[in-house]
Amino acid sequence: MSVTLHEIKKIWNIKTIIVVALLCAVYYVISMSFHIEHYPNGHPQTEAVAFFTELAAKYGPTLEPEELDEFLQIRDDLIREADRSITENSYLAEKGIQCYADLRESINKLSAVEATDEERLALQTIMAAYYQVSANVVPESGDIAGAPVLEFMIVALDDIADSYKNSPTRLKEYIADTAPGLYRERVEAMLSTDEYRGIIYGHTVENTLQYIQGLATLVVLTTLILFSPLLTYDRMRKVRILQYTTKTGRKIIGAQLAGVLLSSVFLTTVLVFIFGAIYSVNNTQIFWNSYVSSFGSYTILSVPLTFGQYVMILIGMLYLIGLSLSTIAFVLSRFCSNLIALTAGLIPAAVAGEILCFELVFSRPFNHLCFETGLALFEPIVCVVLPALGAIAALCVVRREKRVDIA
Amino acid sequence: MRFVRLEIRKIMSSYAIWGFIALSFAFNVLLILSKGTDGYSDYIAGVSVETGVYVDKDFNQKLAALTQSDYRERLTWETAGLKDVFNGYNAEEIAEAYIHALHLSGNTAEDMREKYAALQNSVNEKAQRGDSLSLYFAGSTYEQHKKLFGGLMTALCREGVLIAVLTMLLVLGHEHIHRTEQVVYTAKSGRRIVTKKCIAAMLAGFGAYLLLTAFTLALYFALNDYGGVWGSNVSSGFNAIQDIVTGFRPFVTWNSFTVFTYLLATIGISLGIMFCFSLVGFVAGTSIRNSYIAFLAVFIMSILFVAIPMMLPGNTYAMFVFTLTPVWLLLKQPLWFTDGGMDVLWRHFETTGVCLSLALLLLFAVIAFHKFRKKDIL
Repeated sequence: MSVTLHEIKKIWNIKTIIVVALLCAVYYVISMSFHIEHYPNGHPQTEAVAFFTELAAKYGPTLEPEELDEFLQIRDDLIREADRSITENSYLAEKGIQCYADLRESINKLSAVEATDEERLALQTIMAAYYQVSANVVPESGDIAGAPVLEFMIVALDDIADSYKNSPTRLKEYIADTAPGLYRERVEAMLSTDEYRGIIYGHTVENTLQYIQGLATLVVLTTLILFSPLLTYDRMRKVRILQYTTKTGRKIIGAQLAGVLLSSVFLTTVLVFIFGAIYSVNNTQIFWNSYVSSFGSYTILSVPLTFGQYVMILIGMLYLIGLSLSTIAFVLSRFCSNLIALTAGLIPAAVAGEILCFELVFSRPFNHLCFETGLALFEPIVCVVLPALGAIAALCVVRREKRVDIA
Repeated sequence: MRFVRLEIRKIMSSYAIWGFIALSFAFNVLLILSKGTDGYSDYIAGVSVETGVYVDKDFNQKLAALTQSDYRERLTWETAGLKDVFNGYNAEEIAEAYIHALHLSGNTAEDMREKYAALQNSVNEKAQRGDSLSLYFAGSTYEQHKKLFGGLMTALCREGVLIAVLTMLLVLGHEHIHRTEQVVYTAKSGRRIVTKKCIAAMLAGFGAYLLLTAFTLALYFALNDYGGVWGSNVSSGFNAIQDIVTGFRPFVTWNSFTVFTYLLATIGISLGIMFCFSLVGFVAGTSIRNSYIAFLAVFIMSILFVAIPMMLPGNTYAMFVFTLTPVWLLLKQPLWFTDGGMDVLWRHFETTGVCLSLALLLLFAVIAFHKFRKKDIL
């Protein structure tokens, strides 16, 4: 065990730790910070996230029809506010728009497919006038503090109501004859349970997934950077002959592999804790017990998972990716005689790791690849197979090293 | 010269560099195969030898005389009544859109207007020459152009940069790796040998890039016929640039480029950027003895150069100066020889960027060399 600890100490040398910390900081700035600073992003997503957060806080993980009706009462307040704003606008009055209902009617008429250029221009002018009057904050509309634009709030509420009420119909439409078996099964299961009533918005799921993709990139890069030089340094310093003739003998290579694997687990844990803590400012944990495959997320997962389970499984997959890459780094390290050869080998390994994460494992977990292959747990299976293959390769290296001629 | 030759031999005997080139080629092959081929583009490449690449009456007559096929029908439909997109095109509106989007004011706004006023002159010249009536790949132009210049050439340029840095670090770190520093640096030529190493690494890097480019492009053009399209103007009315502020707009280059000359110019600028990164590698390799840490330093510096402009206030010159650095030039590769989009403030940004970066990096390299001459090697 003490040999393993010493090998771990060799991996975690101060120079490489500084480099890795710098890399994490810079990568966070150019990529991951976007999912913190710009969440929620755009309209009506901002308003919808606020409504979903309020729904989850009030009613828990699922939404019942009567709860939705109760919640939608704030829509009446918003419409009253919109009516009041519209009556105060002389331009809209001139166009014969007296209330919000008139405005909607005009918008529908003017935005029809067959609308002329003049009608489209008129629509733009009306919308501009309306946005001007509706840009005020509506403090009396309930618990939604600082909601920005009245129109977006109404649109977001309408979207929530429509998607909730139409969800069963929409799901039934999805089960076409051509739908894959697993997909049909899942939709049928969703209809027979309360799963589709889960309170979570698609934008939240998407933002979390993209943040985890960024974290996966960091796991790939940091794992390869930290663990790959271990054996190469030994080879370069020509200490192998010394190591192999000591009391521990060639068993040291096994201790080095154990050190790499333990360090991988530790590194992923550190990354998950640091970046998880940063992400907690988005307050998405309020949706922890809500089913991801729900009316608001427009996503159907291949297995029924709550948001919390989904996140925890993705984190588990990060650990497995980290372990598989650490075994690859270990094998690479064994075969590279110098640091440049190692660097030249690391670049393709990092590119392959990124492609694996972005195109396969974290692209859309539990979604299209599962339905296409018929394997409900396609991504987790890939994540289990990869470290297994890596472990076999690393064990082959360990076995070979025990018999190799060192002279 | 003998030293340079010997250093090149050292590089060429490295399995790591050859392995990297082989893996890069394998990646490029996958990239080419994953994009597949387009029957319609092949058809255009074939018929454009007969019809020519300028869409006019003569072209239409020659096209009509061709054997009836679905592809001919499609081409006839796409080229019928083709209008010159540069006729009456107002490039200065782009400036206003960018100024509005970036909230520019004062000198930066004026410079942006100046850039697009200058682009307007290029547009007018293109309108006079009728560049936009060039056929290129007709309706498949955008995808085909993106496939070659936005996909394959980008990959080649990035691989070239990595090769440039790796060869430089390999040759500079060679003595450290083999523990021959004390012998080599105390010989007659002494530490001046690093200048020869630098030249050797650059030559080897350029050679490796050209070799990789030659093999990759040979495969690409064997699978994607370009026939008569080589003579098409890249500013064809079928080609476009897409950005988040202005959407799709014509592909306007400062000068007139055919597909062939545009490809050559792209390779030229790629070599310029490789030169820059070789110098970055030289500075890192002479300053940091551990080649691995030196490479990581270059890597992190590159990411830092992407990150810094994102943290700078939008309405300052500093943000735009960063887009002239080699890292940003790499990122903006598909827009070389055009206006460069909203984060570029000056004309010919790729040429200006390469020249300025080279001048600055040469200065850094000289400083690094002088420091290295006095460095403790023990």
